Amino acid sequence: MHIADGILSWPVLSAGAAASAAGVGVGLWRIRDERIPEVALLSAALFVASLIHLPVPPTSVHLLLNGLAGVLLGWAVFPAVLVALLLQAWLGFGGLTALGVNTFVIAAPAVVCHYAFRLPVGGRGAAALVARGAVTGALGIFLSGLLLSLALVTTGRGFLLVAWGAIVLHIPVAAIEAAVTAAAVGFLLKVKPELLQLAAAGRRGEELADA
Amino acid sequence: MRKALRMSWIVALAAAALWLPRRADAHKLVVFAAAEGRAVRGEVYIAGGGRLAGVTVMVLGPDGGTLGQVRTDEKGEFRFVPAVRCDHLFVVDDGTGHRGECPVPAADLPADLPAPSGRGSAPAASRPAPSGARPTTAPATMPTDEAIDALVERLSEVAARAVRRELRIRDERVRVRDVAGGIGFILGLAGLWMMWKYKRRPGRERE
Repeated sequence: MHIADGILSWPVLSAGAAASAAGVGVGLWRIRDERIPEVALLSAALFVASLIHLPVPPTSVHLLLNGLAGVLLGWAVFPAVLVALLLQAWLGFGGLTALGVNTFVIAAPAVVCHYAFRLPVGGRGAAALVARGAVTGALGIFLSGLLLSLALVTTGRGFLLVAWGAIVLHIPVAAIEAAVTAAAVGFLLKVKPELLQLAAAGRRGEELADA
Repeated sequence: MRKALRMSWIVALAAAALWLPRRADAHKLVVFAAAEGRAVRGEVYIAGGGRLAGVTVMVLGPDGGTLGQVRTDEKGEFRFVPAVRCDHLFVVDDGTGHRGECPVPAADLPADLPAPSGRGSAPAASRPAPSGARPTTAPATMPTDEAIDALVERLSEVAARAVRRELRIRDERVRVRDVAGGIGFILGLAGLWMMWKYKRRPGRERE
């Protein structure tokens, strides 16, 4: 999910940078002061997660954790992803010029996951929340794969060919992310439910679940 | 409880950071290429992971034009015989956004290759290829100095290539300190941010 330097054209890079800048702006504006440590922790988690590699011939894939981060952080996932990707770019994963595109590819689906998690589908019990956690975990991966394919299509590659690499190869990752996100949601519900509710409630302090 | 949760996150991250770089492969395409004799030999692999067989390696000139292309064999290796003496760039792009490249400077290529078109180089080009000096063809008497020189040159080329390859592999590896440094960077950034917020609104009550 990390596009390297020298692949995308300047218009695509600029569009990605602009979209990510807007997302980061919204994220920074919406973060409440007391949630800064959580953003930093999830940023660190995103950074480390992308270094876990699963061999999927002919290449390997890595975890993203963008679904989980999105569920917990909402729009604040944009700055978290930006910092994590900046560090990875320094390590050689993904290009610096492609930072904007890469940030958008990972963070935008995370924001979608944030709202998907809050959809009133399947009740408000703990089991329903865990199930929605699983769905959003997989959703984050697939949406990122889709965005990645769209970005790469502009380079003249066939969409299906790229989508194969970006989406089909990530099915094992999506399964793992679904399990991880579901487990994290279940764990937080037991140990610290206010973290989930706060995260889901966003700036206005709406209540998500009374479960 | 809150503290316990925070601690468990940190412990989990630290454990992951310590465990990962040792077993996990970095996920980027690495192209290695070096001149060896009259050819450029190289390999394509995923940093820390497996070799990539059957991928196309584009060979680009200094102006970005294509000089040729080769495919890696089942061991992920390739061999390219340069036709001109100029800087070569070996590029692999796997189609899903990963890209790797490796330059081979003109100085590493055989001196008798013609320069890129535009500069007079006919005499050099017409010179017969490797000036003999195959040690195996030497008679049963003492090998000539020339043959010994050629052999030494060839051996040092092979050794230099092996060293360069090893350096490249080490360079591309993600190390524990990289990961630890990254986490420290993020926590430091959060600290700065909180400090700034605190200074801006010193009297703000905690919710």
